[in-house]
Amino acid sequence: MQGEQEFNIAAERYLDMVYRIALNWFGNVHDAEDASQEVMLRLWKSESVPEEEAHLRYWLVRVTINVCKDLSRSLWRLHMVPLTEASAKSYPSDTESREVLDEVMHLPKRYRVPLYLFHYEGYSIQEISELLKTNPSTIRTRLSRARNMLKSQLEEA
Amino acid sequence: MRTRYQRAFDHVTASDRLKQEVLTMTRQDKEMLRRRIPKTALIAVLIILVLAGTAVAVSVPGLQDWFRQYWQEATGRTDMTQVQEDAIGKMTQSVDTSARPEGTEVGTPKAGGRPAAGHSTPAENDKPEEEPAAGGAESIPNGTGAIAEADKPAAEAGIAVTLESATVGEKHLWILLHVSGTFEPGKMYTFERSELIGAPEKVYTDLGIKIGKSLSFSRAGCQVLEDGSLQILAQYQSPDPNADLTAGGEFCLHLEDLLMERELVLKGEWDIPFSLQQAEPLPAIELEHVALPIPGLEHTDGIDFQEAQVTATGMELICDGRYAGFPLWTDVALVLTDGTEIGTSAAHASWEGEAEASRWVIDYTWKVPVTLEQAASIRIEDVFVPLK
Repeated sequence: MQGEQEFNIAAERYLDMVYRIALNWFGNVHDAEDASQEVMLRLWKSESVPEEEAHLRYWLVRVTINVCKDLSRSLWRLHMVPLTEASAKSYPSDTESREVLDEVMHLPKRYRVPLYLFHYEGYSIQEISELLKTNPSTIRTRLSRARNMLKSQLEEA
Repeated sequence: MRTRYQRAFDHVTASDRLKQEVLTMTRQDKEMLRRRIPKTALIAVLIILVLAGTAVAVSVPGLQDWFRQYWQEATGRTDMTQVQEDAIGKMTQSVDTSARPEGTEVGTPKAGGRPAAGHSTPAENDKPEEEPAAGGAESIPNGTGAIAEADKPAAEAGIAVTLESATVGEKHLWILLHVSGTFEPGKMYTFERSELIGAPEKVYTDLGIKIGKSLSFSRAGCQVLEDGSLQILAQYQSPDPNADLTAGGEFCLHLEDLLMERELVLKGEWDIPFSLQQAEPLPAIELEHVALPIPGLEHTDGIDFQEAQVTATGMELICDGRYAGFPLWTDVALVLTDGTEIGTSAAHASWEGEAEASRWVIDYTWKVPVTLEQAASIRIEDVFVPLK
């Protein structure tokens, strides 16, 4: 990254997104925080960060997914934190949102991340398939199944 | 128009602490940052132990009550069988050692109106946010505090932490803690850092790293007692596949900073030295060549687990090292002879010996210790493996 100021702006703007993707990946706060910090470290250390806003965002999503994959494989990452422990400060205090998140976090991981990238970040199926290195038809199927499981949560409010 | 899903995630943000750490990243040394990554894997610290307290192998009602509660939730039965009670009693040791911040050892703080241990059952409702906290809420400033002394360091507030008792398996410990003071019911309390010093670590000499492990806390494991003090049931799972905690030994439980719902409410450090007596080795059921599908790759051949060992506290699966790192199954249970299931509360995997050069060992902890006389099979996702 070019300088401290640019890094701080990017961190302020994208840390929550990185954290949410990692939370969807791991399903627990501790690992999501570790992954987020590693992503930001890579952002700071990287010499080839896109300057354009949309490209930087896409770059961060890709790095986040790679970091999550790496950490999942690492020696000390292979533990399971009960989902009840995932409830944290970052979880909303209002009952409705907490219920939605609880249901989301009970979905299989392979559904959670595409769901978030599609329904929250607004990426297309093609983009998600490239980010996750997964066939577009597989992404479509996972989104469909996830939607069926979370139908009421995904309906327009 | 935003969906409920989107509105829910609007609330999910990185913690202030994480933001602060990230924003100061540019001024910190890279290696210093990396030390946070193994959050649950603390590097061993050599500490001189001041040993105190004598473990006595007796059944302790406090822990039994917690297990009874879990047992009832899991099985739907009102009581544990006598055989089950006896087995847990044999595995449970009284410790009763306390510490105040900065390691000042104190006597047991049980005086002062604490209810009898038999009353210390866990909350029946695991979702306290659905029920308003009973009493005391008005005295909590801004609705965030938990204890009257929340804005003071623990030393000033005189908060003592007592390790009351422990239930001991080969690689698993259940630890019952008591924290003096006044706490808000229905909240989840955890310690920011915890370390069981003296417990076996996993050492990778070729990588130059040691892996320790912190305690696991859960919402269901927190209970505010009648006098307002706090009882916490914590779990420990050894990172070392070769560990045998039933061999006993001398340990020190190091705890730092009490959190309520992940917010700091009490700053302090407690070091609780304690001994565990050597216990009888746990009976085990051993299986060979258990074939299981790989999570997410069910269409492939699966994994041949060369060995599987089921004990009263958990299960160990051992496979060839080439399968290292595959995702762990999350839906695993011990199926009892009457068909009820005891699920798992935690899992851990590591190399048996050196990284990349030894077998891969996966260890699951049952939610409650279970006598193997009642065990019929293990269920891993949709696959049942009979034990008899």
